[in-house]
Amino acid sequence: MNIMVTHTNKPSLLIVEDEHYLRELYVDIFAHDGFEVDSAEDGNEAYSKMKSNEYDLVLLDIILPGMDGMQVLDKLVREKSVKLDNIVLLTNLSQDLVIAKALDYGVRGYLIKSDYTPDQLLNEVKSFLNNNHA
Amino acid sequence: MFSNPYVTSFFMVVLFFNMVLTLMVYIRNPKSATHKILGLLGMTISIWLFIFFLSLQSFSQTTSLLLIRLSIFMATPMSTLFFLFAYTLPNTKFHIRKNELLLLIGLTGLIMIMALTPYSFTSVDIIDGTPQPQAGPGLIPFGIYVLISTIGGVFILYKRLLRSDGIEREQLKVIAFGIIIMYGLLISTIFLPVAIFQNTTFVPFSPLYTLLFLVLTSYAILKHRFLDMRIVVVRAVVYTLLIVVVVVTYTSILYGISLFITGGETNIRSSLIPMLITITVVLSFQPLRQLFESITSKIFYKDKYDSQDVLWKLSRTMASTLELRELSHGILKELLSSIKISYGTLALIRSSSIIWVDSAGKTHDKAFKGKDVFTVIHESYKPKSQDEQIIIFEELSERKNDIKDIMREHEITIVLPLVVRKELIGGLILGEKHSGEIYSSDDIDLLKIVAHEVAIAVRNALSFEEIKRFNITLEEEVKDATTNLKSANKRLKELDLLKDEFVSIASHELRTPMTAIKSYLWMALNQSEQEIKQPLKKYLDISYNSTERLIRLVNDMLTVSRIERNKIELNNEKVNVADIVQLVFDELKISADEKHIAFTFSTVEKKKYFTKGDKEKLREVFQNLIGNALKFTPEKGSIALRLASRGKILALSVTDTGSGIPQEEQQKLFKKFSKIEYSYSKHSSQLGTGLGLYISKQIVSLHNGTIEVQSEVGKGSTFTVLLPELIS
Repeated sequence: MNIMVTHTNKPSLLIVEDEHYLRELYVDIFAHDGFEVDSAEDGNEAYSKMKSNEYDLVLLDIILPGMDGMQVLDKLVREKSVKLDNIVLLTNLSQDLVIAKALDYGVRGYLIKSDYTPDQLLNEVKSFLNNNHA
Repeated sequence: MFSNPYVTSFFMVVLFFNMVLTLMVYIRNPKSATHKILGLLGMTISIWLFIFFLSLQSFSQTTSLLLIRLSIFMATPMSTLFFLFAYTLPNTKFHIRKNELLLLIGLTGLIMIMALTPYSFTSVDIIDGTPQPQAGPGLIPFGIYVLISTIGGVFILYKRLLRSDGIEREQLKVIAFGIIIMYGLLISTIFLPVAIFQNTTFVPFSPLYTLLFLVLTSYAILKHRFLDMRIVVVRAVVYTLLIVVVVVTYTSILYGISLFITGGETNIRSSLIPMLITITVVLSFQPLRQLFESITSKIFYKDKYDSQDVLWKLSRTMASTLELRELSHGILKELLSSIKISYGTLALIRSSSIIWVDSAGKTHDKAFKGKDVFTVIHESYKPKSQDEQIIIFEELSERKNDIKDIMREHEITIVLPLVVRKELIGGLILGEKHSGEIYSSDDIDLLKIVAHEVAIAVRNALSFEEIKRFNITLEEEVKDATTNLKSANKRLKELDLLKDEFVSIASHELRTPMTAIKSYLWMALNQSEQEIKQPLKKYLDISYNSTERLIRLVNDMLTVSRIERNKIELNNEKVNVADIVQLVFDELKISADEKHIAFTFSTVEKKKYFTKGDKEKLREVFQNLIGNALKFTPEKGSIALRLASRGKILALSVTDTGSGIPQEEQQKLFKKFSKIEYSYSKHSSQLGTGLGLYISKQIVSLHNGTIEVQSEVGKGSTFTVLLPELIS
């Protein structure tokens, strides 16, 4: 599962998702569409992958086992080692305060998982990569 | 003519009346300047009268001359004092400059000295036993001085009279009148005729003039309470009469005896000395008696109290405080000290218990047993009996008397019930008197009055305490309630936070499996290599749509939750409503076309429709309303969007040709999960969540707007969103 990022013109993507079936689906869709896809199933894994690799985009869930998405962000912000502007929150959590905090940290945006069909999600991610998605 | 006893008696009466009044005035308020000066003036008049009286008697030429000169000598300070009296009245302080006073005293002294020299009266002739003095030039300055000071005094009085009002004016009028009469007559009929014409015709009337002054001053005092002297004057009159009666009686008896002894060889002069002795005895009797009495009473505890005085002091104590402790202390202290009682206890009862006990004096070692105190107090009050409401130890029969035993044990002599409106509130328990004597009937009478007043005062104090206690209780209760409210509020806030968290977690947990279902259904429908056959495709479609609906429901519930917790935040910016409508219109045009619905959007005015609000939220509202219209309008129907400005209000109306909504159902439209949607759902293939209109209405309300509905069954509905227009 652990695919090392190589220097190709394929966009690299890290999908952080604890729900097994969804993670599998997302990885399939993006890989099928030509992304270099990496995935993580909890906060710790996501953190270490983000520390060791540079991704074009990270889809980060919030509710995760172990360290949750916000804790990952907190840690990254404290260390100031990794830029957060390549992170898009992909979550089913609608907690205004949490989202506002994440946007304050400088994440690119947030998407509610349940609102998107797989092809819609693909389009959203592409538009994030192609321009400065508002 | 001046030697007969009638004239003598007349002189004496006037003299004493004068002296007594003078003394009383001075004693009444020795610190007041007005009292002092009036006293001195009266005294001077008295002395002058006495000398004047003597000067009219037949003495030797030398003696007569001296007496006549002395009368002028005394008349001088009279004038000075009159002037000072007029100057000071009615002040209690003496306001005169030292220099002026010294000048006045010097002048007075000078004239007084001159009166004693031969310049006043050169000689005296005794014609028919009446001295006829020869006036000298020295009388001229005396006359001038008397005139000036008198006129000056009268002038001052007159000025003061003009300035004064009320009772003071009345008093001044009377006093001034008396003084003017007296001085006027003295000067016009005595001083001047004697000094200038050596005419003594009116001289014997002089006491009448002073009497006139005294009578008028007395009148002012009696009638107008001049210098708080009413009582004093009444006493003075009585006292003077008493003295006069005694003196006249004694003198007459002595005169009679001396006539009898000497066989008629007596004259007025020889009766003068016994008369003076009598007066001295009479005057000194009362003070001496009082002095001895007070000495003896100090030794034998017999100091008699003045009931009025005790009552007055007690009333003052009771009126001065509402604090029970202060009150009982004051009452007991006053009673014990004035009636000289060994000890006293004030006990208050309520129903069958003692609520307050305070004791003073020599309380013995044996502490009061509550039950005993209660028993005696209860025994003292006989509500239905006409007997006196008091227990006196000595008056209780010895035979088989429990009360007497209790009283003996505690050395109680008297028990007085404290009763207010026929309710027994306590008792006043008194021990024996210091002297060991029994209580006199005067004591008992006084105590009964006192008990009555004490009862009322104590009841007032108790009421005051109750109010105070009530206030404290009230404060505590308010404090408790506030604390409770605070903690309840804190708990509510905690609960609110928990609810907040629960809602977001629950919705998250619901959405996660729904996302998986939705995504895989979509995959099944869209990613298959081969075409899906019916009816499988239909099943998958229904499943997919239901999942979508479930997801929308969760989203709507989250929105409702936000609205109801006031957690919804509006992005307040200037937005063009026409732009937003256009966006929604374009979005839904495809769906409308699919249903062959005539879908139009028009603006009435050629302008921009600005409002202040949240673009995204308003878009949701319009989407919801127009989406509803699409849902409920059958194929080939029409939907018209119309935007207009109605005087500072923007109106977007969405008119459809749907089935319409009956009047009674229209009220329910904007409520949560309103059932209307279900009953008309047969017209729609897409099911709603039942929350759309509720949320829309809430969001429009947050924009200070509203949503109106007009509908007719069978014809269609018009939903109108009204928003305040922002005039730029």
